[in-house]
Amino acid sequence: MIVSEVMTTRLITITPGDTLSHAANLLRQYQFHHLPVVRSTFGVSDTGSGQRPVLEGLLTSQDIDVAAAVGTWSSSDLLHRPWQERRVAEVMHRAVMRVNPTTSIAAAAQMLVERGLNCLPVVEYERLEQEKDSNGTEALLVGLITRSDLLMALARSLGAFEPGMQLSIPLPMGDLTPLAQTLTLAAELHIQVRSVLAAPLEGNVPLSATLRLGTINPAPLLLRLQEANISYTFADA
Amino acid sequence: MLKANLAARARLIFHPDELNYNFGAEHPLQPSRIAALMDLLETCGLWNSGDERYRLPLRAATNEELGLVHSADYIAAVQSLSASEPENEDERKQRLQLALNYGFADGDTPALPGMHEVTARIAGGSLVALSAVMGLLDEHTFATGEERPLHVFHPAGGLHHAWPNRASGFCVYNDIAVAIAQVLRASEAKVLYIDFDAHHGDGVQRAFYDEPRVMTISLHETGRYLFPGTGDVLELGNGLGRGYSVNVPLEPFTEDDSYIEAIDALLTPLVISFAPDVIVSQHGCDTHAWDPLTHLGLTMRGISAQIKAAHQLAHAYCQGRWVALGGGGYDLYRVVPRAWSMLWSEMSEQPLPERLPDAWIARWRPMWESVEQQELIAQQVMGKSSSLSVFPALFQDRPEDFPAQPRRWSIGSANRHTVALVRHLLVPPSVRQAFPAAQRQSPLAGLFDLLHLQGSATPSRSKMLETQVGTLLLRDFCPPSMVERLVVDKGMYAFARLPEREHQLLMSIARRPDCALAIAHTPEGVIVGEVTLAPGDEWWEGLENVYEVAIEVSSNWRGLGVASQLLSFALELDALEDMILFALGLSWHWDTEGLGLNIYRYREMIIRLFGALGFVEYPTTEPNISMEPANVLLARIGKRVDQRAAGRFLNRLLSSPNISGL
Repeated sequence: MIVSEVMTTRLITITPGDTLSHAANLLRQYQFHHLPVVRSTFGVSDTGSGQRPVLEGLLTSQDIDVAAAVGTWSSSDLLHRPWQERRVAEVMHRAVMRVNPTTSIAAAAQMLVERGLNCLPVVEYERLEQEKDSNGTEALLVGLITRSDLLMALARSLGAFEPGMQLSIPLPMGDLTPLAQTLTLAAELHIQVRSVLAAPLEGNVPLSATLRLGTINPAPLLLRLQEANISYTFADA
Repeated sequence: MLKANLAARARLIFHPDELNYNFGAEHPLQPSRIAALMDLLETCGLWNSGDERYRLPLRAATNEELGLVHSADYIAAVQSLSASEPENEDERKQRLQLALNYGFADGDTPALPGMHEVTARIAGGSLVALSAVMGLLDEHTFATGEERPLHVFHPAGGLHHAWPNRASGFCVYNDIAVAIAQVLRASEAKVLYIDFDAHHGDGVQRAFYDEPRVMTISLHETGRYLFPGTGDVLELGNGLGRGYSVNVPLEPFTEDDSYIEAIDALLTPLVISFAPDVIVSQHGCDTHAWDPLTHLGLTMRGISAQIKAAHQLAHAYCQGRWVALGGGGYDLYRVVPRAWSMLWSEMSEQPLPERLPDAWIARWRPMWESVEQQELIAQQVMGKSSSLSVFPALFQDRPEDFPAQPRRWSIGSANRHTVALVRHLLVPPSVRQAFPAAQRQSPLAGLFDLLHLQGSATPSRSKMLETQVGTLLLRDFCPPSMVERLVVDKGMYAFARLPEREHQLLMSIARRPDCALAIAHTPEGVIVGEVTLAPGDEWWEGLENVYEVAIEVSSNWRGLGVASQLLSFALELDALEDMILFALGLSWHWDTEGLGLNIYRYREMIIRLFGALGFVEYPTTEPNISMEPANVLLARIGKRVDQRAAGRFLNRLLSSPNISGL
């Protein structure tokens, strides 16, 4: 899977010139924690022309908390303003960690965990018309990927949102034959397979496969498995 | 043979066309089970197809009615798949694609000719049943309320897996959801749905997941292995419907005792807190130990407890309005006819004979023998212990045919933890206090002795309170006899939703020796406020002197300072400084509408109210509190409380929210 399959694309954004109070209102209204900061430019590209959001940075609810705290502590004149009136550009961070729509989910997950981030902007780089000579590119914001998106992707790829039952097939010595036979039998019996999971958790070969099958009536399949001498784990007495 | 003296207020809906809900000879769901049931009822003289007093005609549901739950494209797809198999190759491909898109491509729910007509008829049956009980106008109207049936049984109904846009688990149209949706549209009634099937009632839960007028309760085998895999305790509903989806996932191989313990502990408190107008119950009997599709291990004793519970709750809380539906049940001849005859005999209040009629056995035993081998094999591949292969001669099961599970004890204790979690999350505090968990009988002295260390002379104090609206009397340690003489103000409905139920609740709290009840009442004897003090529930198990405080003031007496006066009065206790008191503010019980406050303002109000008496807000991982940011836990640790006890309490506040580890 790649990032474009799971990212959020309908985004609420703000501009660098907006006030923090506006940003705080948005965060409260929509009940999330990240706001991409964009500047709109008018551009022409292969896909057509129109307003194009250029990513400037990212503002998190934490940034606002810090700004509010500093605003009340600092004695410096420069900062001596109510935090609500400060501008987004002053407190946002530049969001240097970014991914592309074609980045793999695994790479995005690793980046989030290693850097302790909750959210990554998804950008496409495009050369701008007027800056063609200077070889300038700008990052167009196309989406946002958060830890929740990844968790939903995980649940979905486990087939968790589809009605079904779960069956484990042991794979001795990592031999995939029992799994292949089970799948063939399921296809013969017209049983929908919601998900198949066989990944090496310890060592380098998978020792068991977990199948989610879209049936309320597993007995015919279990019977065929027994006949074929394939062992399985189901609820045990 | 029908007992003529019975008030015929129970009806059964059956039409021979319903037997066409047939997916073929190899399919586990066989309509012959309904045929066997009807034959058994007639042979026992419990029901007679010719007797108008006990039957109710049905009609097919219209597309418009099906559309209350199902999407238009799904209904169109079912209709087009209902036509017979096309000749031409292109059309066949289209048909296959349609089947794939709408859940008909697998062996569970294959597309079959005429299925739209038969399932629309089944949906119509459940719809007529519920409409008749609710007195909604339908084709079949009753002249007076007296003639209206109180209970209706529709054995072919109960197709609880169907989704709005997909067939699933043998179900095409969700007759239950359609019938309930029709009631929601045509009246202001609230509907309680209880699903006793061994599989989770996912389709019905899904249809009303954000609907506060429908509470769905499903008791089922855990979805860890079993279809459809959903039905976790934490599926609580969404949005306004939060708290109205109840799931009780039971361990595989659960037996009668543990099952009965679970329904006893949960159903009554849930019904009281929801206050429904009608009960719809789904009686899938695949919970039986002989069923080849699940791992539960009930016998007729457990199944009869389900039926009795539904009947009794309907009479106690819904003026008798009760619709029972069929459902799963794949031991076609040994279990289904017996279970549902039992249901009809309970509903129509006719005694059930002890023995199955010989004539009936002679007709149906050969049917069972023809599938006996298949059934045995199916049970064995599912991992059920090979039970004796016998055809029953009695309505009840003989205990000796059901050997005890080797893991009975651990299954029972796992289920007990599940039930405790459900109680904790879904039963409001004051209702929970009125229904203490069975195993928690405190050996300590009554709370009264504990709180009157100095041995006050008078058992109960009282105090006058002048308000702008009138005089109130405050009393603490109200004895049951006194509560009984008072009535409850109409504005007291936060927990039980109906004043008379609130009165019953107060009575049960007053009767408990380990609870204290303080009330505010008018000189005329109308209770307008209450403060209850009760030992902390399961989450606080093992802590001493920890008490939960709950308060309610009638909506007609708000803004007069009654709450703060009553609370400070109730806490004028000798032992106050020896106790740890806490209060849970759960936003879903707050009457924000009545006060015109949003939940955050309400929260501040509660913090101020309790703060005035030394309560402080604590962060906690307690599952109710952590579920919603507006929720708040306030606690007051008395000055004389032992440091270690206070430390243990503070630790518990932030302990891991895994109640099953307690």
